[in-house]
Amino acid sequence: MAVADAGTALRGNVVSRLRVGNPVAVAAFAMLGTILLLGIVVPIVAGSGDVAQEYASLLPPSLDHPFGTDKYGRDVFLRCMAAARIDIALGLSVAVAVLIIGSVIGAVSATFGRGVDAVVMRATDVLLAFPGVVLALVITASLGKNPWYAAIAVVIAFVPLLVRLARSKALEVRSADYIAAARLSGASTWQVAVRHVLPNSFKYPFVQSTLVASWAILDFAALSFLGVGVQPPDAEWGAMIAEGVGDNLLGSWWPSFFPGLMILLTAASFQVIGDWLDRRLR
Amino acid sequence: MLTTAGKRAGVALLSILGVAVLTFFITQLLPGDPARIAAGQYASDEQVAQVRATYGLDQSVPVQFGQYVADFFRLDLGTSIRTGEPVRDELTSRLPATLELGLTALLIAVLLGVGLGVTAAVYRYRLGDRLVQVFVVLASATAVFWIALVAITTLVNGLGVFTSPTGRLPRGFTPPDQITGFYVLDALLAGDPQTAGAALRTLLLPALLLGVLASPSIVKIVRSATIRALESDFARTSRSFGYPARSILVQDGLRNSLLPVITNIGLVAGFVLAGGDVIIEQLFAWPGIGGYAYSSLQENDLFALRGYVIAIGVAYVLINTTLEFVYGWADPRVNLAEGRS
Amino acid sequence: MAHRSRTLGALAASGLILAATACGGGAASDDDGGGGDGGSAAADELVVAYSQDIDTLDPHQFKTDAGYGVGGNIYGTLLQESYTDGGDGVLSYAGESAPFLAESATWDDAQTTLTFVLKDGLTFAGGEPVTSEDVVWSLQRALSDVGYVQAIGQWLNVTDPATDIVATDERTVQLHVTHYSPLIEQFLAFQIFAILDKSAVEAQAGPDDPWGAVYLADEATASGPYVVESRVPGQSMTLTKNPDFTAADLADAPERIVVQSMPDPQQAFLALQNGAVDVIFGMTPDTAQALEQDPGLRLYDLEYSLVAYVGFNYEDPALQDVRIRQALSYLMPYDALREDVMKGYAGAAYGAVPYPMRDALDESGEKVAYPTDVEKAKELLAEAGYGPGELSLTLSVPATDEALSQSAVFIQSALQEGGVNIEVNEMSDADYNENLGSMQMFLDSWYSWGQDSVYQMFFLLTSGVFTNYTNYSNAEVDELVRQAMATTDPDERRELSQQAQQLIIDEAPWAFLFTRDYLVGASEGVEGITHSNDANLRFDQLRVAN
Repeated sequence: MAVADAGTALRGNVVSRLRVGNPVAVAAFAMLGTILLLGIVVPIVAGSGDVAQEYASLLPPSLDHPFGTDKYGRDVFLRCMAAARIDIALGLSVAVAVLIIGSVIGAVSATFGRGVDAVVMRATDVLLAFPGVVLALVITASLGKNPWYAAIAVVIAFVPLLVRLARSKALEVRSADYIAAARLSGASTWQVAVRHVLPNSFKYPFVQSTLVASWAILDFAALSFLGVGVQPPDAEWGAMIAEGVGDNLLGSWWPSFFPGLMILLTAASFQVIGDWLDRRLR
Repeated sequence: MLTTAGKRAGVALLSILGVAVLTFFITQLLPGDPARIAAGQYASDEQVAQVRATYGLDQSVPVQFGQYVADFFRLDLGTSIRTGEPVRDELTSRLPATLELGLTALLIAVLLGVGLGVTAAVYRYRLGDRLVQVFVVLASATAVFWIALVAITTLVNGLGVFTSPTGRLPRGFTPPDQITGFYVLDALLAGDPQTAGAALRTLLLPALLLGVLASPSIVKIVRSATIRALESDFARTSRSFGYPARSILVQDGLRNSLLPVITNIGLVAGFVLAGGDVIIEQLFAWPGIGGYAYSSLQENDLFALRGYVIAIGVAYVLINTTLEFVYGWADPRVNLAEGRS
Repeated sequence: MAHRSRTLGALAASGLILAATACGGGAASDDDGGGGDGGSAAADELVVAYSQDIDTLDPHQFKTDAGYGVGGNIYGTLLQESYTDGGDGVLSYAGESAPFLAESATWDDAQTTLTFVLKDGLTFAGGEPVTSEDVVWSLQRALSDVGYVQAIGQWLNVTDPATDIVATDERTVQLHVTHYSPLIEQFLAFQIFAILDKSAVEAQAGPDDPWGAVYLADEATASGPYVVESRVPGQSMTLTKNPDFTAADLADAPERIVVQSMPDPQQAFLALQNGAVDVIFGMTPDTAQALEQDPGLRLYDLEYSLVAYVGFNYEDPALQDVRIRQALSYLMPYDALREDVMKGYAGAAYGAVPYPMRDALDESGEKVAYPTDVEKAKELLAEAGYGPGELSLTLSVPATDEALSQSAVFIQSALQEGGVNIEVNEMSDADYNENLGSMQMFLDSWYSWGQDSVYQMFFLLTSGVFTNYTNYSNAEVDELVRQAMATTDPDERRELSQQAQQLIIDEAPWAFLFTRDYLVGASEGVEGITHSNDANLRFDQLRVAN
């Protein structure tokens, strides 16, 4: 494989492999697409319906309110959809950020080797040993209650995992012929790392990042459940579960059940897509 | 071998130091004045200043850091501002509860992971495998706090299968004399099967929840390792020689899949120790260090929070280092110096 | 979740002239009237759940509800609140203090010296005698800089604890005060003036810890009805009846009390339902409502003057305009807050001194200072120069107080409809407490032990006091409160207090939202819940009816 078109070859390769259908993966894409579409369309149609207290409180699910209403008299379906937007956007942003930061650091670390590599590895050791939830809680406590601060905390928790993966794959690539050729043709170590090692080892961290999206949604929901994600009255799945906990006791299971189900469906879709990509791209 | 061991130990020590340093500076970011919170809403400024002096918070950050490092080497984690007691004592008294829950969950995760992984490999692409795949996807996509709530409402309140979450023992039982700190074991050692049973029933639900949710990564690894083993030339040869499938599975598939499981346990242990526990301990009123960390954070108890993070960090590093040695011992081909890849 | 109403010390009440001074040797305080007659017996063990863990046992440190719950039962005080049995399982405050560890408390003619004589033969748990020296040392420790109780010193009217609290013989202690106040006696019945074993503490004290703060944080030599038997940190503490306690009759008191930490209110409720706990102290409105649907459980709904309010910071330019503050007050959804957030377990708050606080302007608990009136609010806003949507404010709220954070959602929605944009800022407890005094608008709740109007206004609304979080400052209010503190005449005191209350209502430094009831859940048959002024259970009064 020629040095210059390694990236193009990879792309062509990926596209042709992705074309092969798989009913489970198709279902996962359909599910995720539907949730995302509803998450975008429903809030536009409903305006501020997700925060408006315009119905009786704790109405059970019905045709008017498919997911019922919560104790504030807000439509749980509208809130679940408004939350989908923020939760999925957050999951994807975290995945992309982790992918970029992780694969670049991994490729650079592997290409430079020695001192750089040692420092990067020790840094990931330390970060992995740091309890993620508490790290996230401390970060959000110091920065303030905002979903994007929580996202930063989640990114920090996942970057070391991806750095390790990207690095180990990059190590395999590093000894390939085309890398040696690039080095011989006078490319600097940086150029080798970014132009050659990174594109050729990229697919493994890429597959992994789909799973990161799924974990990020779960972790962000957990942080929200603990009360550091979004400011009320904004809707977010984890925060909605926390709000609905008390209603369970009075037999109103729907305010906390449906957001949990949304998390399950969304995170599961990302998982299935990740597994499918994994099989396709290997 | 000795030098690589020494190197690995050095790396572990470096990681622990890194955790300690990072902990100091991250907790330094926390908003609010711990002294003001410790002194209470009604304290005058002089009293707050006095509290600040008592805990050395009036010193400059470099001086505080020096003191912190010096204390750290003496294994002194400082005094909790909230309770006025040494953080180390508070953590060690709560640690057995966390470990009992965490290790039981880990055991469940490993048993479930190996069992389901091997099943999936044996019934590859058939119904058994598909069901396991569904389980893996669902278990890795479920929010622990949500399923815990559903489980408590249905299993504890609805059906009464498990006892109510009021700590480590149901009402009417007294804790057994402390030997290991694990109630189930201690009660058995004390010859009190009734208390042991009660402790186990209390422990089981949170441990099951944590264990089941931690199992998917083990299932995946065991499945692929077992498939590889079953497809290996060795297995094919054995089969052609007429050895029963079961013995091939046990001798070969399982043994080969055990190695990657061991390395994976390190990561799973991290999840069990630190991740799920803060929430699970809150929900189940489990008196471990996760709940301690959460309330310390709420009240801005700087020293308690630092102590917790360091304890988890050290435990994590120790577990992983030990596992690498075990791994190297079980499979001499692994080069310890390279670390995981 | 965490119940973070602030409780400070104690304060007194009009009806309480310790006429009962010479309550006669030894026979005090047998007016307990614990529980349904005949059908009850001393319970073996009762499990009482609190939402937080016990953080410290030091009577002079600020602590969690569970900490106060234990402290009030392991330490005895010179006096004790007396209660009357209403026959409904609740023991209500009878309006006066009765001797407890003291057998008598007598004022001299000039009413500047209060003399206590200890009961004969009193001992701490373990057998050491309780002496006047212990009492003097304990009161001096309370008024020292070791803890927050010092802030209450001025309400005892003691100038210098070192010289004004003296032991005259083995059993006699004299308290010299600048002037008589009926509050002093009510004060001394609270656990912040616990009697400690001086020699046991001093044996553990050191040069840099003269008051034995380290020792008292987790050790206690009981002088009250219970002793600590064992403790599982983060989970529970087991108390047993103090065998050496002779100041009152404990024959019908429960043998053991297990104080259980249950951080999640729903789990606590489930535990009560399936019998794992017997009493929950401080339920959330949600769980209280669920409890009422269960015939096997009983809710004790205790009215208190625990006031929830929105504070308006006077350092904010927009909020300095009284019309804005009044307009915001008119926009508050009082009914929704009481019915939907508090599920009806709440009363109306007429001003900063709400019913059932003594000397409150409102004697029924039904008056509202600024009833919800959107039109009036819009007029006031227009007068102040703000059209609809032109005023934007931030409302800070502590995240762990469920009732307050729910209130914030309703308030945000209601003010939006009135044309005022509200951004809710939910904060961690630490962050919130640190920023009290500098937040633009904040939701808070406050309870003054002793439910005294003057005490409440002094701490929350007089100039320069550090718990005056709105920075409200009115010279007239300051002067009225000062005079009320100086007078010894209860009628004059009430008159002065009510004038100040009216001024505060007119100026609306707060939106006076509602008063919160204390909600105690119990298994059917558990009785003897004390409706006390420090909002604490007396474990020795708990009974289980057969």
